[in-house]
Amino acid sequence: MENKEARIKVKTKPINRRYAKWGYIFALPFIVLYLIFTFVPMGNSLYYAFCYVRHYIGYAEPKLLSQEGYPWYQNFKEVFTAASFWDSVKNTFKFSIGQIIPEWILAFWLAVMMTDRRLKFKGRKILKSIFVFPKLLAGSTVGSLLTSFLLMFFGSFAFKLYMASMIDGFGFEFEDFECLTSMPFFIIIVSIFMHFGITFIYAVVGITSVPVEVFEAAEMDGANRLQTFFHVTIPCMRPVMLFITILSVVDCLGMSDIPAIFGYSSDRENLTLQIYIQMQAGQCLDRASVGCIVLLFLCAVISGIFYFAFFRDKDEEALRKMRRKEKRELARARGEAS
Amino acid sequence: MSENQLSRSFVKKTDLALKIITYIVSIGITALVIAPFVTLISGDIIDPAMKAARSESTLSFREAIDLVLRYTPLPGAFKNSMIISGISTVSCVYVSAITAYSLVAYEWKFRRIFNKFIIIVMMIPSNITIIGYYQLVWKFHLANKLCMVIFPAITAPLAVYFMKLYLEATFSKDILESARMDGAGEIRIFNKIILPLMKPALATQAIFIFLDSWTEYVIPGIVLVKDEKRPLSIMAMMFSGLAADMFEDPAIAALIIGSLTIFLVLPPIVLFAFLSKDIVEGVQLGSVKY
Repeated sequence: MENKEARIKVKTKPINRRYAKWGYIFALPFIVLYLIFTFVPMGNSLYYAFCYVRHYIGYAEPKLLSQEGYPWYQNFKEVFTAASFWDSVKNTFKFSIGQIIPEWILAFWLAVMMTDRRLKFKGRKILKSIFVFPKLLAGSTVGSLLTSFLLMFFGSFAFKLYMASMIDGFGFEFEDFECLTSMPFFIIIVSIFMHFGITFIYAVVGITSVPVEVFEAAEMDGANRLQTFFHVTIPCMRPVMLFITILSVVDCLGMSDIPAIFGYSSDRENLTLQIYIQMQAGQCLDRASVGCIVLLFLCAVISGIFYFAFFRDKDEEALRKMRRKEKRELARARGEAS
Repeated sequence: MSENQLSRSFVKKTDLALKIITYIVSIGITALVIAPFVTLISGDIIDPAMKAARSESTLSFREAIDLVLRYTPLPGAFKNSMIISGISTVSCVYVSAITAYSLVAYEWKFRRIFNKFIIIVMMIPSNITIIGYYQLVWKFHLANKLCMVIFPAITAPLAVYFMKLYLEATFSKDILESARMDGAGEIRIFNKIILPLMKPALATQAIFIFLDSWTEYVIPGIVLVKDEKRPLSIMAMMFSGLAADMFEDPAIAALIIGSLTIFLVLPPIVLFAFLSKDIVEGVQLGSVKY
């Protein structure tokens, strides 16, 4: 009897330990599915960068480059010496930066204004649905109708500016507006239009997640809106910011559908990295794999820079380090005592 | 008049100005979104082909649908799309939620490592797996199976991260302990207590996951090559290429593609209309607490 009671006591004491196995069980489906259906194919994709796979569709294992008598870096050499590849990387960066900066400014500005308590803005929920609407239609004929309308609108706007410059009323030259009618400008405009709603929704999620008292305190201390945003809102919504950043970075670097609307351009103005990979995958899977490696590398580096520069919780990390040190010292002291 | 009062009236004025500017900007964006549809209805149409469609063709919407049904496997494609998107959305949301729950509620040994793993894996663009996935599917003779499109869509690290943030904010150990006290099993606790608790996060993610899988055409394009297995997104894309050749009158072709598009566009909008009121708002997300 006594023995049994003692055992129960021992069993109930580390209550969290006892349920730890459920943590494994609940995480297992994700891990297994992720390993099989994402990690293995990804490893395969990256492995082909070191193989010779030309005009190859079949079931046999591809051969390594060294077996075919090439040096192992042959594919990298071919890709890195191609002008089209560098154009695609350049374009990807151009489109990404051109998209992210205005999109974020617009989305965050609108989100801050609409969630501001002092302004008492009405109709946020309806506007939220309207802002996501282009994204809901994207990838269909109505989506391209929307795109073409947008192009029309900005095209006619640019044309009016042209006219104004011809009248020469404002001292503008004809060439000043050339960038407004170029393909990259349209691509950026359409991408912003399509992607802006998602950023806006998550920005509202992040800003409303900051407790109201914090804003009140900042207001009491006399902070203006800009200060409040950069010194209170952004640090408080850090986890959601990480989410928004990675969403934007991955979407922008992997952008392919909107530039593809403009079709084939001889001077490669709308060639992005993703389109480059898709085009290469038709003939040379190995070169497409090299493109994949570059895409992965860029995503990892840019997201990593953002993570380590802005979103890592430095204080918490320091605290954890301190705790670990204390624990170690305690253990050492105990060891010495015994 | 004291200085304080002066500054207050100034603040009020700038507030009003800001409010008006915000309204103007948001109404402008709304106009940009809605204008294409208004022009479509009012008759001042941009596309010359569409303009011709208005003046010449005598096809009603019903006749256009009949033509679509005659020339395309629309019901089958719609069913395939519904199966793929429905199952992958539901299972993706469920798996993400249960993974997030395992990260928040239990103290297992590799929890911190797994957490870091999720954050790292979020940064991987989904498109880079495609080449390897293509080889995998064809090597094991798994092509033309709908489940091969569903499986890779189930795991979404971004959704897991978002749900983890939400759960960290709303979940408390007391609920868990009292439910255990009442003798509920762990799976039952998750299904009956945690899932309803996470409803806003589930709704937010479900919209975007459904949208992604509904408009996805790369993975279905390489896995499903048989005609009767194709989802709607690919079927519509192929048919809109064919329609221009099939029908001599471009107006009729445009009308038919347009009526096909309605089926492509409607489900995400309906889902959004149902779920948009549940989108997360006003919950203290993340580890920053005061």
